[in-house]
Amino acid sequence: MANPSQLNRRHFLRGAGACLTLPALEALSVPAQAAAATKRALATTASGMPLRTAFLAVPDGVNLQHWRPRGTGSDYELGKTLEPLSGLKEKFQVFTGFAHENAESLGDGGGDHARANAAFLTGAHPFKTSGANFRNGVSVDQVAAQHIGDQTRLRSLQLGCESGRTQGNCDTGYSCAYQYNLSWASPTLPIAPEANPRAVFEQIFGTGQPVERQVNLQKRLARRQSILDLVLEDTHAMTRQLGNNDRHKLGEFLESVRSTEKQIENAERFTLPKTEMMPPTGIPKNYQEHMRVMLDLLAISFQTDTTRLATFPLAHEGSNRSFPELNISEGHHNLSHHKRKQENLEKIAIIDHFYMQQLAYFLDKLDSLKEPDGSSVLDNSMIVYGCAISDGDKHNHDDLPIVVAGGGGGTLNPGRHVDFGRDVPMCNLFLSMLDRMGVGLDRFGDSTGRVADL
Amino acid sequence: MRRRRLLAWFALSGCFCISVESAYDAHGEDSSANSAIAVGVATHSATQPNYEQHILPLLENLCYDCHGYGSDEGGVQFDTAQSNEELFANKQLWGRAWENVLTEIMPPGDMPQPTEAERQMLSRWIGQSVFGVDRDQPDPGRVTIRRLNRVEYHYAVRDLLGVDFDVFEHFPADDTGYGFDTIGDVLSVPPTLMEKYFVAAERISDQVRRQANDDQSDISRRIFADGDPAGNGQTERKPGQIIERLATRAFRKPVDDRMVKRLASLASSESSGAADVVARAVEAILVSPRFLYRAEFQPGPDDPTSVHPLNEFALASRLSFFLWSSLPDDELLLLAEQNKLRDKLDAQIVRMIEDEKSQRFVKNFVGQWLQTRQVEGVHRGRKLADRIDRYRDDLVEETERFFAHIMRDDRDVMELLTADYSFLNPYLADLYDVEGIEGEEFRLVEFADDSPRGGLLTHGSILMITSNPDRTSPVKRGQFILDNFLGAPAPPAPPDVPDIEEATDGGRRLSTREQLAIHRADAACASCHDRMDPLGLGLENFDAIGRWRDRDGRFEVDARGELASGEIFDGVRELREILGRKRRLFYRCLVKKLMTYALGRGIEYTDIPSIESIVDAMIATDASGTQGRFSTLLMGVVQSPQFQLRRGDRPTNPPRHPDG
Repeated sequence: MANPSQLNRRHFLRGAGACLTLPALEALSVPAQAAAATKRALATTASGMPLRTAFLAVPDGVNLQHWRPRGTGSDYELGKTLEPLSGLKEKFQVFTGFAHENAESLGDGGGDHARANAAFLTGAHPFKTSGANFRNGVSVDQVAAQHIGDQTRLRSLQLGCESGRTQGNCDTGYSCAYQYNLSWASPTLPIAPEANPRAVFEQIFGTGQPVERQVNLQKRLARRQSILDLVLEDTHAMTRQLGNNDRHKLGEFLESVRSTEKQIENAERFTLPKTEMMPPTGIPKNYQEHMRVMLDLLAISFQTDTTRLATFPLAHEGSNRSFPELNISEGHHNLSHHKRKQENLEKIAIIDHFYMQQLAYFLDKLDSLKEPDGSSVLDNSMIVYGCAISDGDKHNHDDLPIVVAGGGGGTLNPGRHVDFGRDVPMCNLFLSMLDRMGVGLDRFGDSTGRVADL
Repeated sequence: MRRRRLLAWFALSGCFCISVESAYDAHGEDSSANSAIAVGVATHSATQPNYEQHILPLLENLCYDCHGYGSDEGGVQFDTAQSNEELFANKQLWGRAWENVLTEIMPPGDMPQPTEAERQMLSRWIGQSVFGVDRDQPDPGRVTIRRLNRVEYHYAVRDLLGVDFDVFEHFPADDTGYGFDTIGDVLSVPPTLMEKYFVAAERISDQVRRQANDDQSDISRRIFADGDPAGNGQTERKPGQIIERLATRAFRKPVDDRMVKRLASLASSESSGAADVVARAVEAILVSPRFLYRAEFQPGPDDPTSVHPLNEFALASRLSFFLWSSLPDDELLLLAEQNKLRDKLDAQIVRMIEDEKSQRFVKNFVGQWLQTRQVEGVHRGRKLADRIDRYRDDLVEETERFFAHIMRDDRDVMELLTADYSFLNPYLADLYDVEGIEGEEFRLVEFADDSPRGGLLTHGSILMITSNPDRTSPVKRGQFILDNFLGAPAPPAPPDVPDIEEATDGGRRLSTREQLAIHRADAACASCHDRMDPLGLGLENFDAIGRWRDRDGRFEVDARGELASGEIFDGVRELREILGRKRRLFYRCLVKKLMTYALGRGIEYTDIPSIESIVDAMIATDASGTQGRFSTLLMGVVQSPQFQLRRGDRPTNPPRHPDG
């Protein structure tokens, strides 16, 4: 019997690209350029194309033997793990030497997976707690969203493949929130990844039959308008009666209500991209299928300029998934404590390779999507892929395995392996990426400067 | 089996330890700031111990061999401070000592042990003298405003409107802390979730509108028809009345006319029918912070010395979200309005447990305490993958039915570990090698005398989630027992640790037991693994999906062991018997888990005296000679100052408990 989810995805993919009309994108080049003339355009390339940024995270470190390229500069050889990317060698760069010091224990004891995930995009040292006084930093995608979020209909996307949480205590004394959320809108406000393809589809294209989606959206927003005042008033009234801590919590709620308000205000500026596709149904049982349908949706959201920012943990940090499809019955996290046994290391490399195939799939897709100016979406993107743990056995947070794909609209210098030969804060990369989005900051996380050679 | 109905519960439970006097004015949000705090602990008869006279000799006799006289094992030393003041100021030292003495981690099993009275005295002294715990003025701790988690949202919408909204499809997973999804601090509302709340409210509202005039629908009957007690009243209610009733229930307290008018005025035009008006109001109610958040108001919310009994509406909410994962019903709200809920607390708890909605508590608490929610997502290697799918739901159901049985029959919760029965259907009977079970249904099965099964230790659900995808893990199983049954989890292993369960001896493959033994030969590993490994090795006769086995691959299973506390056993039956004697540890562990779930916050040092009082009450036998009844546990938690009182916010943070 055919796997229904597989059929769904194929059908869905056939639709992708082919039936898609791109009103948002075609229309965009003009106002964006107009904006460029008056003021520095945010997240826009020199030729007026949108500049997209995505962060993909993989769990548990990698087998560095097979990850590491041989040679540096543009004349280098890919390691076995990166082979799936060989067809795109001129479109990405590999970095050796990035580090996340704030993922280190710094006196906080165990919990490296939670810290690695919490620090990966924030550069912050999460406060060790299972709940009380919970605090991390703001993630780079959300700092960017504060500045460029209103350029697009959706400020940012958070994708994932897991719809539950570990039960019991998560990583030794840390709330699960640290281990599962890459995007942090504030130090106390993580944004949960969305694992349901249908929900992402509806975020991008709207709900209902294809012809009625735009109307449905307008109706929905109009409905919300009248309710918003009541919600705002209620929130203020409640806030006045609460203590410090609770006021802060409700303040976050208020911000989220405000963002709904903004969305309504912005509605006239944006129209939904049109497609005849119907939303994918259900969550694919097959892991690769699941990742790929999410990556398809991410590619579409970039293509249609629905958003320019996204995060996607392919699995949560510390994931102990086994891979029967790769003949690996051990859990990934168990294997990652490889004790330098070659048998374990080879299995880790197979998993690394498998995840790399998903990146290759995504990059291929982005590269196949052409922009009005003839470049590809990949050319106008910055895609960071990697992990804040280097070796799963050592749990070290330096020498991180990092790929930065895409041309950044001509501002990146792909086709190379860059080895810093020393520890460079990962946040220096983020700061340099924010520059390219037009978000000029002095510091981000634990940055010490910018990456000159990017 | 002797069955005892719940109604007999409260002959016993009303009399012990902490009682919140019902005389104070706990009604409404504006109860005056100077209302007396009247929470007393009846059982603190012991006199205040003195450091030089009572405590120092104990430390010298029991602790100094390793933690004094120049020894500083584990970096802990009691006799290096220049003065008593300096010594007592070291809260980290005493916090660890307090926990380790109570959980009997210290002194180690091979060293001289204090008597139970000495342990209690030491505990009391640390609480009073180091942490300033005052039993007469208990600090109830601070609970953060909490948004409904998705399970609670689901049940609240169902109980309020009769709509079954699929939250697992529409909402992302909730973040968890301290092992539970009820922790206000980590439950947040990012913009993406707000969007989902709006979409959900729109869908639910549409459903209400569509079914408003369908007399057959649950929605219509529940909202629009005036269901009199006989169930045959069909009088149409006015939209205003309907909205007032819905908003009162949804917001868990009375709403004023202005609110009702505003909700009623949301429908677009004058000509809107009752269905439209109500549906629009529902839409607004479901995105209101008054629905989505459980706020508790109190006088002096920014003053940590301002301690007040929870107003009765907030108390009703605490109870209903605790035991029903949902809104209070009309009866609870009515009692709160009359300010009689505290007076009738016992009877209400009985009613709530007897209501089938308490099954939600079973599912959510068991699912998280015993982690059976994990069973659904367990990955198994190829050899086992196909086999487990048919058992997953059954395994979870077994554990839930087992817990519910002990709860509903008000049995000694110790039976959770020691019972010689469980609930099986034919599939599980097959998995467990139990014969003679026919028919599809689950039923109570008493195991034969020679059966290894009995108690949670041998539930397939737990054996499965404490295994690795391809093999058992005695370490994980041991840690599970320490963490969830004995309340004394081992700290995490340092990174880059040597082999565990993977060692070889000159190329010869070793059994799991041999591998662990090599590992424990390293003193750094031994201090924790001596506690974990023997417990897990005692369960080695159960494979990674919970089936009995005599061999593990080429090795014969050897399930003998010696616990760190000194007991020697051979196999799961003897291990169970030993654990069954650790009453105090098990009771305390369960009290802490239940309290965490009920309060929605982690346990703090200031909670220890209340916890100990509840444990004392559980240890005491009742008239029928039974200890540890579920009702004693539950009422202990519900009657505790932590559950009954509320205090203002602290500008700085309290010392954190090691669990946090």
